[in-house]
Amino acid sequence: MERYIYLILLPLGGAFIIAALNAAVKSRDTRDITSDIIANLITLAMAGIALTSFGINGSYSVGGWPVPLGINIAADGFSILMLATVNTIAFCATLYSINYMDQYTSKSHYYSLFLLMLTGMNGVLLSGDLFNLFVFIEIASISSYALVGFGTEAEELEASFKYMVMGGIASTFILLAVAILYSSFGVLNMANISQAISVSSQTPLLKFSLFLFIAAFSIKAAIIPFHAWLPDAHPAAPAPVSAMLSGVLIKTLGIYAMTRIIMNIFAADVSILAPLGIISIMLGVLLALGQTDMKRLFAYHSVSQVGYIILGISLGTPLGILGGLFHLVNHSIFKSLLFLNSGAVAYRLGTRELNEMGGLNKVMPITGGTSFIASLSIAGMPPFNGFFSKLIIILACVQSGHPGFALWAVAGSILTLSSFMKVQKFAFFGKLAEKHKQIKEAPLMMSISVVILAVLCIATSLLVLPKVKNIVLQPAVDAVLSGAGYAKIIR
Amino acid sequence: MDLLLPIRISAALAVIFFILPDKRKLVVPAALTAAISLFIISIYSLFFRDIAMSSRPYFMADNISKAVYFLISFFGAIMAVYSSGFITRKLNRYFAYFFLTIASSLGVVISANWLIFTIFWGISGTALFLMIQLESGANAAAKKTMIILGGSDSLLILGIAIIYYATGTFTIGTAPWSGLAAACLLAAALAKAGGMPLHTWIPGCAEKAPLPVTAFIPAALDKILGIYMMTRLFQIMRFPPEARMAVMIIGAITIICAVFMALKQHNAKKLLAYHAVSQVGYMILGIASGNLLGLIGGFFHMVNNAIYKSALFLGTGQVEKTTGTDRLEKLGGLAKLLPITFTSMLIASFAISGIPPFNGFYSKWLIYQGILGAKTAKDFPLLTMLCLLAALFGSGLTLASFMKLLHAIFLGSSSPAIGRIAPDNREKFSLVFPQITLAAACILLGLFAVNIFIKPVFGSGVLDEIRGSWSPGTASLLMIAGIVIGLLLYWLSGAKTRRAGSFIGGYKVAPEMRVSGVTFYASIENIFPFRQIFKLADKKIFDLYEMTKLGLFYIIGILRYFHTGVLSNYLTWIFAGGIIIFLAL
Amino acid sequence: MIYVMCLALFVVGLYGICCKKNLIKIILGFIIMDYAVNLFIILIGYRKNGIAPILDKTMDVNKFALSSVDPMPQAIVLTAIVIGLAVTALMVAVCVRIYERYGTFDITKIRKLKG
Repeated sequence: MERYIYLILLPLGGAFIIAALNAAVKSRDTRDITSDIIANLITLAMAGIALTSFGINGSYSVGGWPVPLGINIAADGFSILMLATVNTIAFCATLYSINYMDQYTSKSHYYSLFLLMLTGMNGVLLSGDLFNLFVFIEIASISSYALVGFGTEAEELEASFKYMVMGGIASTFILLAVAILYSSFGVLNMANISQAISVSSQTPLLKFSLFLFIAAFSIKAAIIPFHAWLPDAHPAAPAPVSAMLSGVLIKTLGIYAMTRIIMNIFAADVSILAPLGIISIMLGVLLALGQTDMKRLFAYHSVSQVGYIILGISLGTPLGILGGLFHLVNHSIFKSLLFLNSGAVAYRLGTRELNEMGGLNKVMPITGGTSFIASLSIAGMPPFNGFFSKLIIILACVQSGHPGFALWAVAGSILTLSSFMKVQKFAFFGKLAEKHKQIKEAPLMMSISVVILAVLCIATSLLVLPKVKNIVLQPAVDAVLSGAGYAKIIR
Repeated sequence: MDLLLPIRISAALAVIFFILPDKRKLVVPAALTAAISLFIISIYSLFFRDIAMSSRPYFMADNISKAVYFLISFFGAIMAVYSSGFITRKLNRYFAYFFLTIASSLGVVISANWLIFTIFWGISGTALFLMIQLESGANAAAKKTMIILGGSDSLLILGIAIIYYATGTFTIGTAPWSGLAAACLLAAALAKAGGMPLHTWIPGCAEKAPLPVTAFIPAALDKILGIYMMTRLFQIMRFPPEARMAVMIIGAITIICAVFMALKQHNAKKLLAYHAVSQVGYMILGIASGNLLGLIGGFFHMVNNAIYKSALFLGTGQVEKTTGTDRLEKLGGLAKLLPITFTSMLIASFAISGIPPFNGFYSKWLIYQGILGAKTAKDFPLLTMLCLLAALFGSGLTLASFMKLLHAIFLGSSSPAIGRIAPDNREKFSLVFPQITLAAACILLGLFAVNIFIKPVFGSGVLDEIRGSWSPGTASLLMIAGIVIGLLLYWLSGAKTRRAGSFIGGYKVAPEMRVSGVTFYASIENIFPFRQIFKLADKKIFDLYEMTKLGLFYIIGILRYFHTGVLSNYLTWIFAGGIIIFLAL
Repeated sequence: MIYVMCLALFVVGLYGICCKKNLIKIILGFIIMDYAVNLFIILIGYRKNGIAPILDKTMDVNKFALSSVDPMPQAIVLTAIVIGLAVTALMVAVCVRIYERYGTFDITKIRKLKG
């Protein structure tokens, strides 16, 4: 069980070491190279730890203080699945940053913030009590605010500010809800609260705190109409950060925390979220279709795809949750891949405007090929991973007696395909502009990183095979479905 | 060795060709060898092995599957030969996607599980997208193709989900009637085959894509797959008469509208593409009629259409290769230059227009019979007869437009550009051989349809029903006799003919004043209802894709207008959403 | 009563964030809202005439438990204040940079990102 504590301590320590290095080492080159190495080793180790953790459930009390007095770390199937996803994507993003972040001046600051954000996310996934959950959410959020504004250009600062205000409101809501729960039960441990709620009657105060949680996490997960910060913030960040934000941050801070609190603590009915999911799917994809800025288009797709995940989870059936979680994993992979690709294009061309691209497949075959794979995955074309998760979600919609939802999901899928064909047409196929003839393929580390993700796009479709599914996805589904049974894993 | 082996081989070939360097000397022999040995292996595993498919739960091979399987392998070999002579650039990529297409199409027809079916189905669409992209300048057409095909894949998923819900299994087998599921599956089949509201990718694709791609996939393979799926759909679901009627009406509309669009085309490839759409209508009519004759007719028509339509496309390809253009008004008098192409296109044109004794007539005849005995004839007699009328009328118009095509390309006075053609651009073996094969197939299938197609595929049990309807051997003897007697009478009577030059008031006829083949048909664009309809069609009013796009972008405009960038507005949304959630809780 | 005051403070903060145009006022609104929540948390643990939750060696544990205020909210609030400080500091820093780029504090004029 001690292995999980390293997932929090490693990046936290790394962040401080890199920050200290920044102050200690004078030469910029040395500083950059050492921080590259440290950050990559840490994320690699964490990805290794997280990927080998499947099946190791349990809890751990920090400092030996027993529950409910001490800080408690708990991991069940759901957290482990999320940990594996987050840390794998984080590794790809840091690998990518080695080359990509050369454009910016202070690489080591970037890495400290990045690792701090990772600390926050891992902490959210492992935290066993509500206040720590809040603290880790804030750690992740604050570092992400800073990372969004990292370039300190006008747009980036504006996006960062808007993100900060909306994220700040969400955080205040969470804190208020936690306070209300504490005032009702006098404990903060999630397991104890969950037990207390299951025996207590539904008071208005409890309902209010549930509402605050849903509203706050909807902001963090960018469900329409709470989404407005996302299409500003995600494109403004540097590409690897966009990949982290769209790929895993909104899911950890939004969907994971929401599911955990609604399903496992309140054991509440979540069917109210299904219409919101549908609205997100449709409006998100429509807005994406109208964009000509590559990253903004991808960002709107995050809104839309999160709608699918929410739709799947809110059905509340085992199949629906399976589909939702599977789509969550898949979306992390292909969306980070897409953002990394857009970063590679921007790195070489210096623009994100689709109208200024064209024919890039001729000069950047790896970027073009991987983005084609990612586009097909996100559009749900067989045999890539997105196909299977969408299939499961649609199956679940029909099975739970909502063919109407399924129809919307299908419509969203068609529009997703359309907008990605638009991206492919404008950016990667077609005629290469004369001024772009000299462009080279993205640097080595960036290419390796996108190839890893593209392989994962195909490999994760194997998760539907029953044998693999029972190890990876099924424990997560069981954990979500167990409702208040979450309390049992805490000793 | 079973039916999966060719699929595995061609999938492996796709990977190999993807890696191979783009060297013509290396790729062409490799591709030819590969394609032909693949064909031989397919035949061997189809006919000479006891196919133990029952041991594989996810695959099946009944006679329909086998027939389609054979057809796909056959086209694979033919088209590989043609492409090796036609395609000049990016040959390695071309053949990689080519073999991927073959693998996925073969997979579609033998899968007995909806999931595997969908996966292969989707891959074939993606492969087509990649193949169209090989021609620079085709990316808009490729995008449209992919959106329509891929979008219909999503509908397919929904249909499968409903079937799974109803039956509890993904195995392709009888399913209870469900309107939504049937509509979804039908949409997927129509999009692939090119049925009316979802056909709009075919003309664009034909115009822009490399010609062998058009001849291979939209004209042959995708028709085969789409109609194959439709046949299966009508097998597994019991359609109520209303639904049958609706599908038949779609078929009838497809025939008529597409043939009218074909009449006015000035571009040979687009003309053929509209006919490719129009012929789908016949297959739909036949299969939806619910009559055994109609079903056989529809299925047979699919086979025939694949053969003569690709023959026509290949001929056009030869013409384009020789002259460098596919605009009908710039062509003319090519019959002397390209005699083999002319003959094979003539045969194929007769076949597509339904002139006996070619194969097209046989299948159309079966379809007419099928419509007469359709299951809808009792409930909707008038509409059913209208469908029959549409089919008959469409056949006539098809003939008319093919006369236009043949006349404009091969007959008439030759255009000034034709004279300057280098002799080495004329008929090459690799381009001609596939045409001869396909034209021969047209004749053979027309004369011996019962023995080489219907009996092996549908069993001898259906022969009694068919035998009364049409016996091609006798009929063609009589027809040949009639023609011979006519000629004899002509010679014996000694009638005099006189050839006169054009007379325009004493002026000399300049070469640019020649009458091109399309001019005769220009008048149809000026007759009362057609003129207005064509005008609307030019504005793409009837294009479901373009219209949806227009509507969507209007909505998108509104949505984007609301995203003003002002923080206060966004916060208002948050509170509005919060209130809604609060009320709903 | 005091809870109502707390709620009023929260609403004042929200009003500031939503309806004010000036960046600085938005930040102030944010701070007010933050403090309203902090106040609320402190109030949860409040006990009338309670003593500070510091256990002295001379005190009896049971008596202490009966008379002291709840220490947990205080610990929470300390953390929350620190977090609030971090957010505020970051906001102000970004705000200064925004003024450099846009030359205005008016939030309705800072709208390069839209659509």
